[in-house]
Amino acid sequence: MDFVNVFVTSDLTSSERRICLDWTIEFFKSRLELITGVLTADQKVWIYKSADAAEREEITAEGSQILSAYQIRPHTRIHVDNMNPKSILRELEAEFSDDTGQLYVIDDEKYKQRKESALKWKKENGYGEFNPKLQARKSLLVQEIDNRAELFRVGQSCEVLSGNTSKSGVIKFVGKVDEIDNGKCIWVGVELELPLGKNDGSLKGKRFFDCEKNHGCFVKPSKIRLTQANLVLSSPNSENEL
Amino acid sequence: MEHGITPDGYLQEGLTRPKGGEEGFSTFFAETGSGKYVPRALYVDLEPNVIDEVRTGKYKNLFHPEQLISGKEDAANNYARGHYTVGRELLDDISDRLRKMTDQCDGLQGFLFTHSLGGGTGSGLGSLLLEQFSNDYGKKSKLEFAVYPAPQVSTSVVEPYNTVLTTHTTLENADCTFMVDNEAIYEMCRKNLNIARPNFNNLNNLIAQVVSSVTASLRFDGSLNVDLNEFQTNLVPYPRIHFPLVSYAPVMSKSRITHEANSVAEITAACFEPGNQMVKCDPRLGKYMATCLLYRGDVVNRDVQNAVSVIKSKKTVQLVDWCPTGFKIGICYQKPTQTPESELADVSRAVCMLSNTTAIADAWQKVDRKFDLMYKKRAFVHWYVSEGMEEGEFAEAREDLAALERDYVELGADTFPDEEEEY
Repeated sequence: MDFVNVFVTSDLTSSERRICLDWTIEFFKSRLELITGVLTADQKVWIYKSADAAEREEITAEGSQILSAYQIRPHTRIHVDNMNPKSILRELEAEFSDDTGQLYVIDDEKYKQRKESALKWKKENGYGEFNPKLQARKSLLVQEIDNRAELFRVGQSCEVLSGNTSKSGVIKFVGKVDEIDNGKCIWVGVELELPLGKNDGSLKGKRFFDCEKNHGCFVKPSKIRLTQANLVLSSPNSENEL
Repeated sequence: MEHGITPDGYLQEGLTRPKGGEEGFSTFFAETGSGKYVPRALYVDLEPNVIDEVRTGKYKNLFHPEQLISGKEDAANNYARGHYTVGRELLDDISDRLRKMTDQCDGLQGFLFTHSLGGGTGSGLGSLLLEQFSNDYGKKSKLEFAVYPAPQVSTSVVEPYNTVLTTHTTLENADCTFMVDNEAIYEMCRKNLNIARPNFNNLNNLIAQVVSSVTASLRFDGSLNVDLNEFQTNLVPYPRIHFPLVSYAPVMSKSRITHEANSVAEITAACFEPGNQMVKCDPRLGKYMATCLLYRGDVVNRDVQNAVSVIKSKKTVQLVDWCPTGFKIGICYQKPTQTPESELADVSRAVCMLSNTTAIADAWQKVDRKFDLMYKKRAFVHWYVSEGMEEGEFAEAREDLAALERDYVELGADTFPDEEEEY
């Protein structure tokens, strides 16, 4: 028996397969159905001259004929077209490429009731949120961050420190941001002079302040240094200066 | 090859005993009375063709015919055929032959499984065997190397079903699973090895090198050689989360290697590059629970310590806060062996990184999403039901995977506020 390895492709699948040239066309097509999901009746099967060539030949012979009636070289490509526009595959194809499909997520109650879970394990071993010492240290840290934030008022000129450099701007927002950390810490929203930010003052669809695209950013209070300069970004003159 | 054994099971000319030290070597090979060495391995497939190739190929004399088991009919990409119908018929046969083999072991440590998650045999029969081994051998450790579905294109249309079903069945039975995704390996072959259209041979050559690195500590004796069991304890803090991400460096073609210094620092840093990962995901978005670096070849500890401290100082490497995460280091002085057909360059040193990162949950999510879209329409479910599988198993398996995804969220949650973050 003569076996060759070929690449079988369809709209949804691609794989290297071993096929036997003594198979009947009918049997071969039934194998292709199990790989690609395309029903034998809906299949249009193409044999490419080589893996890269555009030149191809359709399998049109009777089902009872043997596959070796066609020239199939090792590592050539065999492509299956789905001729049924109403098939379930067509729907899947559209949905796979679309990222909005709903992902099933386990609900809280069900998860808590499971015999084995990482949550239970953390609880039993006193890890993470079940470690009182760690929690105490953490709330202290959050407290420190929040204390610093009390120094800041909307409208103050400031610098945002990042690494060895800084970006100047104006404080536009001070407060909790659910969209970042579910309201754990206090954040400072800054309108930057240059477009070195990450947003336009809104996060995940919620607006905190107004500014141009990429001029807005949110950082922890420890990254803010107040400056003396009294820049007013929105005044018409500043545009000329820049 | 690494142990100086010829394809027919005898020592290479000039050797008086196998390479790697008695203890290490005998982990994977048994010596027969006549000076022949036989791998302690079973090859199993539901259809005969692939195994026939071993039976007639270059290594035909290496194996005892009883080590090569094949059925007559394949699983047709169907988990249910591999697990319930066609596969189950082979189960007794496999168990018997395995028993014969384990009876010959002085101190059975465990099993190493290699299978796919997307095909019918790998997913169905693979998980059936793992269950059976748990029954027969109790708590002996079971490690898996599993070929994981590529994120973009499936190898078969029902691959997401097979993957979810087999993962559910094996979650309790496997101790540690190293996943390899075909797309990641494809890209490595194309980009790093300049192979225009990689085929299975190219992919397997690369995977073999990785498996060799992971198991090197079991096979070779050596002073800084940390046993794989020890790595495993370190890597798997919580039993369900046993899917470390594997990275390997250098992956470099013969023509490029002459231009590279390939220092310890370079290969270590390369392991943190997505291009060297065996599964496509972004560790920068996740948190590390544990990291092991397995070096082989000409490597000194001081260089390793320096390389690691550079990595640790990087912001992109985030650790979970519920356990102290050190880098565990192993050095095996045996350098990687170059196989004749491989495009991989011959190098004096290499490193394999195993890291348990929450980022790998991304891989599950991609499969789960496809599963959901298909299952909502009950697409192709009848293929499984007609093999006697109950439809309820789909929902049960999916629920378990949802819990697994949630487990990763729980383990990555609750870190200290990071001062450097910017939104």
